[in-house]
Amino acid sequence: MAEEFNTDSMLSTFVHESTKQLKKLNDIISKKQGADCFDDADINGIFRIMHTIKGISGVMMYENITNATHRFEDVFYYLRESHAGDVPHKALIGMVSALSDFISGELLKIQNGNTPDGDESQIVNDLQQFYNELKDAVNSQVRMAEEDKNEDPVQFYITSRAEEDTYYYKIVIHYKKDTVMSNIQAYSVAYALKRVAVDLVYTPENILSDDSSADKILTDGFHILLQTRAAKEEIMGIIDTSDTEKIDFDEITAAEYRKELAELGREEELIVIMSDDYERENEPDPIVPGDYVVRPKDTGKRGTLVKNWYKQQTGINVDDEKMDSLMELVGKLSIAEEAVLQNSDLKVPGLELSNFKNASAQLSSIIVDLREVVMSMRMMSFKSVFNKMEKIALDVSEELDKDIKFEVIGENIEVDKKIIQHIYDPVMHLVKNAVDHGIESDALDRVLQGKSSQGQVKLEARKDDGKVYISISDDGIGLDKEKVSEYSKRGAGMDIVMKNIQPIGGTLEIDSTEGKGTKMTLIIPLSPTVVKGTRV
Amino acid sequence: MRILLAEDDFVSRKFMDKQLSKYGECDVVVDGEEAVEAFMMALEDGEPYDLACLDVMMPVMDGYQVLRTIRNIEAQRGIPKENCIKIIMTTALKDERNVRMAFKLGCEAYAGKPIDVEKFESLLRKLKLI
Repeated sequence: MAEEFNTDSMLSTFVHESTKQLKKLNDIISKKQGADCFDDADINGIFRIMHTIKGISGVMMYENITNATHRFEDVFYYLRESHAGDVPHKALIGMVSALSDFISGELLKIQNGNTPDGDESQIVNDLQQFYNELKDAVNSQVRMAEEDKNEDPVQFYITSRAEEDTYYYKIVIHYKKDTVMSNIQAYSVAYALKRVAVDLVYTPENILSDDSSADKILTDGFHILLQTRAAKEEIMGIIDTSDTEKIDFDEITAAEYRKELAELGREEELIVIMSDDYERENEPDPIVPGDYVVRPKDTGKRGTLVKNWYKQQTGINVDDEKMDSLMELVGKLSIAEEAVLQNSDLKVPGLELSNFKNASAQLSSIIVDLREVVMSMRMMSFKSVFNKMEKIALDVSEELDKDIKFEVIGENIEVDKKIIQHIYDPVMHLVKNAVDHGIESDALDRVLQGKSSQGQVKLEARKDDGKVYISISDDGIGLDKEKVSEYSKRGAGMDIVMKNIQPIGGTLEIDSTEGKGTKMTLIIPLSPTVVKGTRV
Repeated sequence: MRILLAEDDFVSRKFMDKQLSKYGECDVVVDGEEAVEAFMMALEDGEPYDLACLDVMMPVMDGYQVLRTIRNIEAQRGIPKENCIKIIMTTALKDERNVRMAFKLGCEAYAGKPIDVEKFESLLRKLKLI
C-alpha cells in the first residue's frame, strides 16, 4: 500500500533491487541449509550480493544496512580468497539468515515510510567473533586486499523526510457573510499554515492581488489543500475562527490529494496532442539541463517552468480535427484583423484615430500571442520518427546481413505536427531504400573502393530559411544519371514519397554520385497552415 | 568552510541558510546565473567555496545548468578533483531520471526536499566537510 503513495522512485528502486538481491540470498540459504558447506560459487554469490546491497544502501545513506553488509562482504571475501576449509557451516548459515531477516525488516520499514533504524550491532558482533575464531583456526595469511571490493560510494542520495508520516487535509473555510476583507483573513490563515505545511495550495489563488477574491471567498469559501505533519487539532488551533461560519475539514489520502491538485490544475501536466501512434509508445524525453529553469513569477502568481510555459499540467488530449479548426480560425482571425485595421473607411482625411490605434495595437499583439501559442501546441520534434527509423534501418540491415552505422542528426528540431505525420512513410521508404539498394551487399566491395567496411547511413533534419530539410544519405553505390531521372519521375516507388509530401508543399531533391553514395532530401516549408492575412 | 546556497524560494532559503550557517559562512543567491557568478567570483578571489547547495528549479538557469557549468569551469582550469567544490542538489524532484542525470553531471549528493536535517549532517561528514 505504501508503495503506491511513494513518489520517490529512487526509494522504490532501492527497495526493488535489494529485494531481488535478498531473494537470491535466500535461495542460496535454503539450498545449502542441510549441506556441509558452501561451495565456491555460493561464496562468490553471497560476496556479490553483499557488495551490491552495500553499494546501493551506501548511496541511500542507510548506514546500518551498509555497515552490516560491509562486514559480511569482508568475511566472504576472506572465505573466497583463503578457500578456508572446516568453516563451521551451521553457524555461518545462521548468521547469513539473521542478516537476511534484518535487511528484510529494514526494507519493510522503508516501504512503510519509516526510517530503517534497526540496530545491526548484534549481527555484526557475532560475525566478528566468528571471523576471529575462524582466522585463528585457519591461521592463514590472506590479506584483505583492497581490490575492487571496498570502494565507498562517492555520490549520495538523501531521501526527504518520510512523506508517509504526513497528513493530507482538504479544508474549506466559510466566512460569515458580513466579513470585511475576507481575502486578508484568508491570507492570514494561509500564512499561518505555511509554517506547518509540507505542501500548501489554496483557491482563489491571488488572494492579495485580486480584489474580487474577497467576494469569491465569501460565496465559494476559501479552499485549502494541505500536506503537513501536524494533526487536525493543531491545524484547527492555527486557523483563526473569529469570523468563520463553518469549516469543512477532511483528512484525505495522498492519492486523493494529488487528484484534488490535478483538478485545481496545479499539478505539472503536459498537453499531449494525440493521434500519433508512433509518438505514444515512445519513451519520455530525457531530462536535460535547462528543463527546470523557472520563469520569474508575475506578482502574485506561482512561478512556472519556462519549458512548460505553453503547456499546462496534466495533459489534455486534443483531437486533430479540433486543433485544425482552431488553427484555421486563428488564420481567419488574422485576415479579419487586417480587414478591420486597414479598412478603407478609416482613410477619411481628418479622422481622430489615436484611441482606435491604441486599441488596435493591443488587439494585434494579442492575436500575435494567440497565434504563437496555437503554433507551439502543434510543435513536435522528429525524435519519435527518427528513433523508429533507426530501428527500421537496423532491422533491414540485419535481415540483409549488411553491417551499417546509422547516424541521426537534428532529432530535437521541432516542426508542425502535420509535417511529422506526412514524412513518416516517405522517410521510412527512403531509409529502407538506402540500406537495401544504397549500401553494397558485399562489404568486400566497399573495402576495395577504399570505403570502411561498415556502411554509413545518415538521417538528418535541419531548419533553414522557413523550410525544413530532411535528408537520408548513404555512402553506398550511388545512382547513374538514368536512375536519377527515373527516380525523379516517381519511378522505383517514389510515388509513395511524392504522394505524401506534395500536400504539404514538399519537394524531393536527389543528389547522387556513382560509387560514392546518394543523398535524398525532402524539402518542406515550415508551418504550412497559418498564413498571415493579406491586405484586403 | 565557505558555502554557496542557491535557492529561489524564500521559505526554503531561510531554512537552509539557517541550517548551513551552523557549519560556516553561507552566501545566498536566488537564481542560477547568480550562483555561477558567485562561484566565479570566489574562485577569482582565491577563496573558493567548499560546498554548494543548488536548488533545481530556479530562474534564468536551473540547478543542472549551474552544476554543469561549475564542473566545466573546474575542468577547464584543471582544478584537481579533491579541490573541486562539493555540490549537493536540493530539490523536490525525486524521480530516478532526475537523480541519475544529476549524478551523471557530477554532483556529490542529491537531497530530496523537505530536507532531512540529520541525514544532511551525516552527509557533510561523509564528504569530509565537517
